[in-house]
Amino acid sequence: MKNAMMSVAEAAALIEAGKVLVVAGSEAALSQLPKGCWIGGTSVYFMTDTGGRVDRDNLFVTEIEAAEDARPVLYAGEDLPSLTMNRFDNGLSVILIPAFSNAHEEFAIHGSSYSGVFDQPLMGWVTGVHLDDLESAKPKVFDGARGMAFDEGAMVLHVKLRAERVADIDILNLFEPDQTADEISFAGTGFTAQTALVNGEEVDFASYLAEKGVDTRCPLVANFAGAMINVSFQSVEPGKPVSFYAPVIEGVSYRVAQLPGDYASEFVARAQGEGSRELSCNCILNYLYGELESKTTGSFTGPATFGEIAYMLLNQTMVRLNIQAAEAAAVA
Amino acid sequence: MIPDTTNPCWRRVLTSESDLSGAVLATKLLVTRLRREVKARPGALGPKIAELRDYFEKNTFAAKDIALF
Repeated sequence: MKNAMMSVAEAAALIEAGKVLVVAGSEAALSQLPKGCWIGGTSVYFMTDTGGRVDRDNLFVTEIEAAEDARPVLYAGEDLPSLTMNRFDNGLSVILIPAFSNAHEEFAIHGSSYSGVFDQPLMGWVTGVHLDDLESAKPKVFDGARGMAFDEGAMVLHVKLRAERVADIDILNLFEPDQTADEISFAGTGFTAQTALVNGEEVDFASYLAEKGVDTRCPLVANFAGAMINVSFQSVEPGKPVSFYAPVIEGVSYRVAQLPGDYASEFVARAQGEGSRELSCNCILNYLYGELESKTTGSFTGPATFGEIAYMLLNQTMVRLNIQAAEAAAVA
Repeated sequence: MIPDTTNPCWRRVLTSESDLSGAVLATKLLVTRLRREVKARPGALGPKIAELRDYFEKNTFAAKDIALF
């Protein structure tokens, strides 16, 4: 894959040349692109090879060179669970979902139960807007084939890979659970929780967090058979349910994470591989809390998003999709 | 060769909390979901084993993960 920040004119030239693209940018910039084999999502925060930056004019473009065929499909509502159907046999799917949409909530809560969802790489992100524009603008997804934008639904690019290529997804999470911290679980699955079970005892969760002085820049972390999965805090106010950027899941055991060191240095140290040739995204919260503006995360570039998707919705995590020769993957 | 559903490895992985750090991400996430479902409804173990085996039938790239079960 090829990644680059580029002008609208440069991206348009790639589209007109028939390239298969995943594009991130402002609504104004994406709206200027011609029809073609691409999907897009709104974002104005980017990790680039020269550092993190806000950019409303240029676009972050990933060209999937290994694509033999590709098909953009909008799953608008009740058909969301069928996004795993009609995929290419040797393929992958890139998914973009607008933040705060019904599709965002539906996918976050039920996505990991969709039939066959783990049978092929499914990677993408939740689209956003500039944080100053939250009241005035809606995150969007773009169907390049039809030249249309949507603030509801999941925009999916089903990609057929050449026979000798395979794709795999991995995540890089800087956060580890603090093993000395309390064990926290929830009686229900959802984006909010009034109460939690802390070491088995029910408590008002907002009060608990306040009394403990929990640094809510650190997410809740659960161990999914060796994969550390975060749920980030959105708001904690006395007397109100605590809200999250991804759902807490009933029956899962969480702990508050430890604060990592310097985010940029940690990413550089831990992100192995050639990121410039992978499709990747990072979390807007890592961008903000890690003060990544003007700093690089090694060779990994891409939009800073309102949620990351690696089969399921993630928070405060870098997600990466690599396409390599099947022979090399078999050896790895 | 994917083991038959009667092989004890399937029950073992879905009824334990064993760490699968060496597995691909899809395997870790799927096994975690299936473990949760089996814990909530132990009678569903058989169908969940079938679902996990079916995943490996379709995903030869993940077959090496079975050695961790």
